[in-house]
Amino acid sequence: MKKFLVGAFALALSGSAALAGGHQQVDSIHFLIPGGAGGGWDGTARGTGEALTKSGMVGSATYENMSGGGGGKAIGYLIENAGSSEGTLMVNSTPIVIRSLQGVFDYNFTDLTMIAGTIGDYAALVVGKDSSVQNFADLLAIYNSNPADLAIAGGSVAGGMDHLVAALAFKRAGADATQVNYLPFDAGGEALAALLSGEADALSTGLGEAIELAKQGEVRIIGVTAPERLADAPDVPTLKEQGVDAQFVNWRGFFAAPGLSDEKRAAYIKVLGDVQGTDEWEAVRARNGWVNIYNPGDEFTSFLQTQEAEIKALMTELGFL
Amino acid sequence: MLEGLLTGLAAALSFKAIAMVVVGCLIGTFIGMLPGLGPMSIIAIMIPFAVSLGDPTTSLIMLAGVYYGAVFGGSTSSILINAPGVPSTVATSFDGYPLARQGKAGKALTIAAVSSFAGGTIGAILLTLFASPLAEFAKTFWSAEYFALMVAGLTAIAAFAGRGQVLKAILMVLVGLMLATVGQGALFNQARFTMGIADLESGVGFVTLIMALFALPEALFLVLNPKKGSQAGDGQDKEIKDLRITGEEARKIAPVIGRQSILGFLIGVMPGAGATIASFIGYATERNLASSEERAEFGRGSVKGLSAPETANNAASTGSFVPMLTLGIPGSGTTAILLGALIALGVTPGPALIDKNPEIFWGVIVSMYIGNVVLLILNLPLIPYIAKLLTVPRAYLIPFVLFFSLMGAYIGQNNATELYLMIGLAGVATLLRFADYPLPPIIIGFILGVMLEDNLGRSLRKFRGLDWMWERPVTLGLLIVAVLFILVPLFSDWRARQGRAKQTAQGD
Amino acid sequence: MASRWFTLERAIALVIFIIALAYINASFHIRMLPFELRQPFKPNTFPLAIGIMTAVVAFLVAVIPPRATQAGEEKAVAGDAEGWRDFDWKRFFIFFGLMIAYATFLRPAGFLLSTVSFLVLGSLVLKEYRLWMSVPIIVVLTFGLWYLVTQILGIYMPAMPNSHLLGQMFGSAATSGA
Repeated sequence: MKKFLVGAFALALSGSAALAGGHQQVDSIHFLIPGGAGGGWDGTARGTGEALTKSGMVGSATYENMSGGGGGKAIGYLIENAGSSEGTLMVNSTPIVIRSLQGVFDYNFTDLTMIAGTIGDYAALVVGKDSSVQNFADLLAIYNSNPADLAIAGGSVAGGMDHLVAALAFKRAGADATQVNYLPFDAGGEALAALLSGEADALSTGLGEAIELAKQGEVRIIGVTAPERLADAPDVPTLKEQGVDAQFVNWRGFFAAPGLSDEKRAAYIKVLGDVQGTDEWEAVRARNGWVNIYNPGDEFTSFLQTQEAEIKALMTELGFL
Repeated sequence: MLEGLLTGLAAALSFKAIAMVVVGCLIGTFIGMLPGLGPMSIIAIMIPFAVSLGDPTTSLIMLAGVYYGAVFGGSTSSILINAPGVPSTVATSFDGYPLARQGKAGKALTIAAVSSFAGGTIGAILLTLFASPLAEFAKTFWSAEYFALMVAGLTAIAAFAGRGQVLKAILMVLVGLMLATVGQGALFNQARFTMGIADLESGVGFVTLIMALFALPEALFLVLNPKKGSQAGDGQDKEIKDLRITGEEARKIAPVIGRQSILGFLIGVMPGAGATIASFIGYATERNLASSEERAEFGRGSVKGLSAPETANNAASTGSFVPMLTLGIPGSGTTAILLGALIALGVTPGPALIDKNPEIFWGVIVSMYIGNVVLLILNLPLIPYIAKLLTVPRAYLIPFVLFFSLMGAYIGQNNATELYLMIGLAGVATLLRFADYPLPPIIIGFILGVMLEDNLGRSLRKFRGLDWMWERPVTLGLLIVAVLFILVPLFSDWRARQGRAKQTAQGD
Repeated sequence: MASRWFTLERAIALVIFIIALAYINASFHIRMLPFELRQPFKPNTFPLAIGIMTAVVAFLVAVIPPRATQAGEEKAVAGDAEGWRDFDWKRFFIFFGLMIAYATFLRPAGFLLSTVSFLVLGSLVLKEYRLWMSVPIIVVLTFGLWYLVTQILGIYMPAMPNSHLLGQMFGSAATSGA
């Protein structure tokens, strides 16, 4: 996992040397979006499609929203209609792993053809600017003395991603991770508001959600789940450097129907990687605040397998499964 | 501050900016009428275009036009065909649709437009003056206070609990609460009460339920009752288009607008509340402040009942910019998307925004003033034409309303199961109407239920008990207000009846 | 008005009562995670509370004797329940069927064909027989809306019949092309 992440960032950094306007590599892509118009998956697919078509690497892109079953409907559709879905890419993200483990879907994500992870975000533990907590050790001390006194807010469901990340950090620090007093909120913004209002003592969220406020001194990030400090945020300490080997990346990426031909797969993998070097991609990326984490083909597959195994072990231990 | 406003104005008053706000308002109004496409999706769709305009102020002004246009467009479909496309315009339909049914569609739309304008503009003034202190105020609200706020919002059902209907209204709000627990929520790991149907994992869709309860039964009722159909429309053509408000009506709604602009704005400032809660609380408050006779009109075409939620939801939408601009926290789905747009324009909202990018901060505020004014100027002349939609022959109107409602749940989702659910629920709703069960309480319970449970659950987890209900003064205060909202009208009605009984007794 | 005791109102309350009981029962069977079991607020806390309240209120509505309705009292939804015998139930059920058919065919037959058929058939049921007038209007409006939603707003909505899905609907015989 570590190797991939470091590689991914090296690639992301070197990516700014733009390959201006590549030639067309794929005629058309049909994006299948497992949620409604306007959501996060929708934005990822449309933004990616926009960069692909504007840079000329893909002739045309179409988008299909298919909500239902928390994303399960689209997965089922792609598998059941594999024969006629050669030109389809489905967008998805970390929750597909978690939800597959929970048995929410009729199918597992491993039934699909994995194309590439393209963007992502690390998780961060955050406290308010007036908090006495300066680093992860302080947080751990409060947690160890009485976990109920440490209300940790997050923007996902109890037992979901933000909860898992907080539990992961405490577990790797040797504490009993099952006692996390987690306050779930509907969205990251509301969780952040709860931190500022003092309702929550700490916040577990995506780095992207907290970084701007941290730069303005409103909140303090006491640790990110990256393997090493990030170029975009050199002042933010990692959990790892504080002796807690908790690593986690929330990715977004693309999947294709089962039984996709090797050359088609290779073409998709290549075009999703090449596009990240273009100005058109950079414009979309900056607009959405994405972090480039290009993770192609078989690396993506093995990354997902590792992530699945890790999350499964953690969720089993925490009694989430 | 004045200097800041002038900076913003100077940037905003270019020909291009004005042209863009006009375009934005028109696009917003027309797309906003389509149920299922609320301000949030429309803004999400328009952002790439707005960003491509280059100049941040122009982009923001255009988006403000789209936003206000979409909110007004949503009110239009609530009033004309009882089809509120987004939760914040549900309360608008409570009195707006009865007014349209009485042939006063033009008047209802005008009241909505004027109230929206006033709510939005007064909200913008409050934002100009008090953004920073209000942000501090917003920070005092915890889940406990939100819970109390939702309880106060629930009292809006009182308007549908006429005599002999109290238990039925309570039953319907409970049914709404039960529906709200279906599917995956924020609080718990598993989806509940899905009965094994995968499509219920994400719960019953808002548009699905609202169309099934409001728009479809109305249209089906016109199918059932041929007599009702033949009379309306023709003779009332003049009145439908007539958008004048009488002096008496203006006197009635002026204080409502004044109060609800402020109250709605304050509720909107809270990151966990927003325009929908503001509209319900505004509706409940005004009903309680109204005189006994006026109160009886609520739910049957009261101008106050229309003006209150329309003012409050617009003021609240403006208020939701406070946490976004000053704290960098998106308080609603729409501001979350606008936050994305700001970041795309290279601006980072937060405490430093006023100092670092004053032209953006003031540009946003000025765009609100301009967006509201332009929308009013554009829409007033359009209202007669919009209202005339109702005079379309029924052979076209009814199939279109049905089609329109079905589309609302299908657009952007492509999920036919939602449609079956909607049709089934519409059948149930038709039955409920025949038995005189009031339907609005279902939707009030449904909308507030999720937030009620989430905030209650978080508070219980945080405090490990119920002490917070009386230990936190604001929570206690709001809960007392909620109880008063229920008791005061009952008491004053009782007094009125006693008085009447005495009079008749003396008269005999 | 001789009102019988067992009205539609009571029947509905009784059905809601039964649903509430089923709901309470289902609340006891929500699968809970170990950490949720320890918490004061469980996934079934709120459902149990509202389920029990619903059952009680529904029961009351079902059994409380009817109040003598005084003259001049207004009903919440005035007039809906009156004269239902005169209503055009046939048309009502035709529309119901039309909506179900529309939902079923929308995806396989495509937006344009399904919508135009739905609107034309709907207007025919409502005695608009001037097809030379209605069809062009409906076609133009349907196409306009489709164009707006898909081409301008960029929202996906399949316009044309999908032989694959149609094949699935009508058995495998029709899928030879897929």
